[in-house]
Amino acid sequence: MKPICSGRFDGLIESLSRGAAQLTSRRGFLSQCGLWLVAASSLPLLPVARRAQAGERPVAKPARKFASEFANHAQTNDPTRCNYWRYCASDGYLCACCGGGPHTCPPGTSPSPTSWIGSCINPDDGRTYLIAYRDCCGQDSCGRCACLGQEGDMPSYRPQVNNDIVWCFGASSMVYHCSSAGLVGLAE
Amino acid sequence: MRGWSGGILAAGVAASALVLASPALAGDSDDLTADAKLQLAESHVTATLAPTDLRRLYVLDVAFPAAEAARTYVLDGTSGQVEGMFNQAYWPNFAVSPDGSELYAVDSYWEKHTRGKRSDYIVVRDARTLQVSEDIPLPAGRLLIVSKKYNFDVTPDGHYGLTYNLAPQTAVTVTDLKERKAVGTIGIPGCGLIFAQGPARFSSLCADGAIATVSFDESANATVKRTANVFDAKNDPAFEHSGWDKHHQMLYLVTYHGRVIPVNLAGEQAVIGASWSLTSDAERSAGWRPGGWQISHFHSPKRRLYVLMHRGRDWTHKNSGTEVWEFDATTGTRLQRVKLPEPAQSIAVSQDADALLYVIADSYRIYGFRLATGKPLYRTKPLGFTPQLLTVWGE
Repeated sequence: MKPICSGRFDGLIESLSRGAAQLTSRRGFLSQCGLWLVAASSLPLLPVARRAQAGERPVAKPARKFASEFANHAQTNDPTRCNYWRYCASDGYLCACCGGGPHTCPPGTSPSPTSWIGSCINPDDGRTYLIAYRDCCGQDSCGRCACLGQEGDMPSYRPQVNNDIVWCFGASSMVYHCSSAGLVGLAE
Repeated sequence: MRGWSGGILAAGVAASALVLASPALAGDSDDLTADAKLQLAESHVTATLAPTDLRRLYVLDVAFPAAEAARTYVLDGTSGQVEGMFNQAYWPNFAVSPDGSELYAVDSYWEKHTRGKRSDYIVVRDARTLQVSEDIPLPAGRLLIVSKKYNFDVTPDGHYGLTYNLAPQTAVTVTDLKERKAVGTIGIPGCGLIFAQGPARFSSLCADGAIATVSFDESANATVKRTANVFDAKNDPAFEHSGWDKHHQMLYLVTYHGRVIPVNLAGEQAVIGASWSLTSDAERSAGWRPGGWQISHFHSPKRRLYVLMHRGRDWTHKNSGTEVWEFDATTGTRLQRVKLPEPAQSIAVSQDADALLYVIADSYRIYGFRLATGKPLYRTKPLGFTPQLLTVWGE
């Protein structure tokens, strides 16, 4: 992944995450969502789907150090930049630029109990880790450090692999603020 | 300092004398009684838009950095001049009634800005005054997603508004726009988007590549007919903003890899036509492919498809386009390549005979091009926060 378009248009598409309805109870929502919405306690389930998704990519990439184009340009020192290694499938405003961090929601917001899962390569050790992309919800858009991941992004009629849906499902607020990327563990 | 003020006062008195000596100007209406008027007084009036025409352009600004500040601008598409604006709400949708008399905004609100009870509505406005005439509640809610045009559609006769939801089942709420009330919600399991093609019928794209066509009655009781798989949803999915020719009930699916699959939606079940490609082998090798946000639009009178194109690798389907390619949709023949002065995310085409191409550039300027020449007519100053979707009347 790379930050999409340069300039102000970064903000666009930024595929803000995720949403659902306050109109549905949290329990009812989670019970009906099946595999594509995953509560924190069951995070390890989703990477299977996500990794399978990666295997569906239409065309092979040219040979590089890593199979992931994102990993070939990733760095491990600065979580306020779009190419921080954990953000390989992240979309939206980086919580690290908004008073939070890769696994910390900024003050005044709360993490969604549901999340995306990505499998990202740490370029320092070449190993693949599971990352939980959890939105922080409860304030309007942070508006800082917009990043867009497109790898694996599918149209919204395949909602489980679309990155434009507001993903505060089950949170106390359906208002998206920023995107975090917590480490779950090794994917190997 | 005091002397300076005195100078200003003197100039003001002189100006007042000039005003009093001038004949009065008439206004349309005002709030001054006759004896309170100066001899010259401007009336302070509110403008009314001219009747909706084929060159009117609506620009939905989703305001990414402050999403609660979304709004729609009304432009004269011939000149690019802003003629009005109205507020929308969180990740909204927008459409124009088929007769051009009303505007429909699909909005979600919280009672305390970002807190409190959520309410969802189809907000009906008069197309000339932009005044709200009705807030029609959507009791089943709606999906919150970065705004996509075909999450809301109006049936061709203007009777029903159809809004998409995911909570968590995918569903469409049917709203009777004449009676001003939601009449029910129809489940469309595994499918999404809305292409309203009949008086009481719409089609949706499905996660497995099928197309579901839903026929419903006045109480939203529905029957669904699905096709076999029309496209490869896993390896070459169709863009959400594919070419939709509502007048001829034809959907031209544009895929990530640049295939075009014509689909006839005129009946109770979709009928698939022969596919063709946007690109030649050489162009594909050079990396040409569709991409952006509102990546395509359709000109119904001439049955022409317009697609934003760029050069890139796989997974650049949201990269901005550098050119707009024009195709005769009946033959798949490319007619023109319009090179854009700067990359762009969204396009639309006016539906008149001498059509204009509208473009939202990455600078947030709106460009207008004459398609007859491929040359730009104008570019606006950057508009709003993050303008994203374009709508024209009659599309």
